[in-house]
Amino acid sequence: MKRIRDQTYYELLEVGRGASTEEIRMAYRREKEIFSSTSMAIYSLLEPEELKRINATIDEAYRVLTDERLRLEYDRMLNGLGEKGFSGEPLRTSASRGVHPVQEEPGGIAFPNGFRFTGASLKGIRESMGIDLKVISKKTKINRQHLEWLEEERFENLPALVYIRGFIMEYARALNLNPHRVVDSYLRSFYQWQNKRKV
Amino acid sequence: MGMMFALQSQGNLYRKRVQLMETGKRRGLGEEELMVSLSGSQGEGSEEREGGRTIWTIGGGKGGSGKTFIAVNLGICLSRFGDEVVLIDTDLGGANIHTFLGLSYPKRTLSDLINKRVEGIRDVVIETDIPNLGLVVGAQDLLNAANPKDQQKWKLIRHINSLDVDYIILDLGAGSSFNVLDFFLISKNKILVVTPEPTCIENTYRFIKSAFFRKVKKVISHFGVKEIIDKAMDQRNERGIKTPFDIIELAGEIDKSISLRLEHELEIFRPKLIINQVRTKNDVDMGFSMQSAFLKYFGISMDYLGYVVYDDEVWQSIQRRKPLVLEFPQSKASKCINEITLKLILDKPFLFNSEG
Repeated sequence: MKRIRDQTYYELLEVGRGASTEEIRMAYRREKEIFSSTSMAIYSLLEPEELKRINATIDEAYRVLTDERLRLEYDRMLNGLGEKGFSGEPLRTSASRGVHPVQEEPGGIAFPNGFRFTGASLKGIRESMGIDLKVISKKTKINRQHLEWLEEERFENLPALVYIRGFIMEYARALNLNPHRVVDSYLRSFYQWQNKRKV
Repeated sequence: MGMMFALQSQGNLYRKRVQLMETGKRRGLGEEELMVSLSGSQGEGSEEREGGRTIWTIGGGKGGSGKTFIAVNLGICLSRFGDEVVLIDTDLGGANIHTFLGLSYPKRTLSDLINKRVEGIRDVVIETDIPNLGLVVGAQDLLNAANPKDQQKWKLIRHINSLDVDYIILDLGAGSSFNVLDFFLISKNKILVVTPEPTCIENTYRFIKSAFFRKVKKVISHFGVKEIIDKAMDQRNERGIKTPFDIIELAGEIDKSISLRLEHELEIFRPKLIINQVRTKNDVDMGFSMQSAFLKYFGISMDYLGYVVYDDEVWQSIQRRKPLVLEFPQSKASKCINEITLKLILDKPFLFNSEG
């Protein structure tokens, strides 16, 4: 058995790799019930913070596995396939597949479709907003060192994928960016790095 | 020689299965159901036997969850299979198992053994009205017996291990003290009785965690790792060590072989779960939810053995000081206990049947 953060989305939802969307939906509902804040089965087992994190991971697992393209990408990552599927162009994910060419971020900054959220671009956005990393660290409760590594894309220093996902989403929220859009884009760098490492 | 031994024990196992089949049939279990469960059993049961005995320990941390009730009724069901069963009440402060069987406090109890008034544990096994079922009553009168000295406790455990019968069922006292945990840990069949209420669930989780940490502290001799485990026992420790995963990670930095050993212990720990006083389907499902959540978060698998419904007959049987399975054999709760007994003998976890 692995820690929740090291479990694949399939393991987390307790479904097989070939599970149908319906099966995933049911599994998701079951997991959300087990880990709901009023669930008796987990009474006293988890701190509120841990529970929040687990729920966010379950939500994320559901979001990825019920989106055809995200799931494909995720499966590819699990399979450790080569770079064939990837080009330099960012994959248009559900979050960026809008009708409008330009999406309005909650914070008011507009990023064109296809804008790539990388460690460097996130750092640039942050600095242009005049926000210090310390402030982000305080807001997100993520260790400052980890934030630096995220900006530098030093994946070898960072914990497992699920954590990076969670970190980046928090980071995006702290900058008032669309967390899903940012994470989908950012993780492409991660997948590329991971595939390179496997070769 | 080894070969002979293996064959012989296989023969025993086969004989045992045939016997189980027959008894099961007599008890009105469907043949198909029995065949399925028997063919699935790979004889783990024989490995579980410690020197010819199988020990079941029944704990769970919370007082009033029905440990003694379950222990007594399981014991009776088990004794009907023709094996010799001894129930031992290890609650050294408030022993009351005899009351569940309608017996008065016997002359010979565990306190006689602790105080060396008798030679061996056989001398304190008393007969019950039920064939094949013996009883050892805990101490009621001795204040210091509730907290026996370490040495006395281990002696008592050695006595229990020396008892030459087929099955020993240990009914544990409440709480998560070392005394309770050490009795709980002497068996590979560690059974937890849980009622669907927050207080009981809280105590159960604390109990399993403490039991697991106690167990690994005994098998790991490295001082530094022992310290890490101690930290984990204090859930609010400053290093944030909470789960076995945290311990394994830290131990791995010290010595990889220790972390591997810990992983192994985590895998084989496997306590068994019974949900008692079930009123709704939600209560039944709670067993599955606990199983799933605890494995995900804490890394320990639990076998969900089954549940016992809450019905008036349970209450009545306790009032009358007559065991439920004898007084109300047709009650739903009795059927639940019969099923659990069979699952335990066949070493099969609980699966939902189609009736659900």
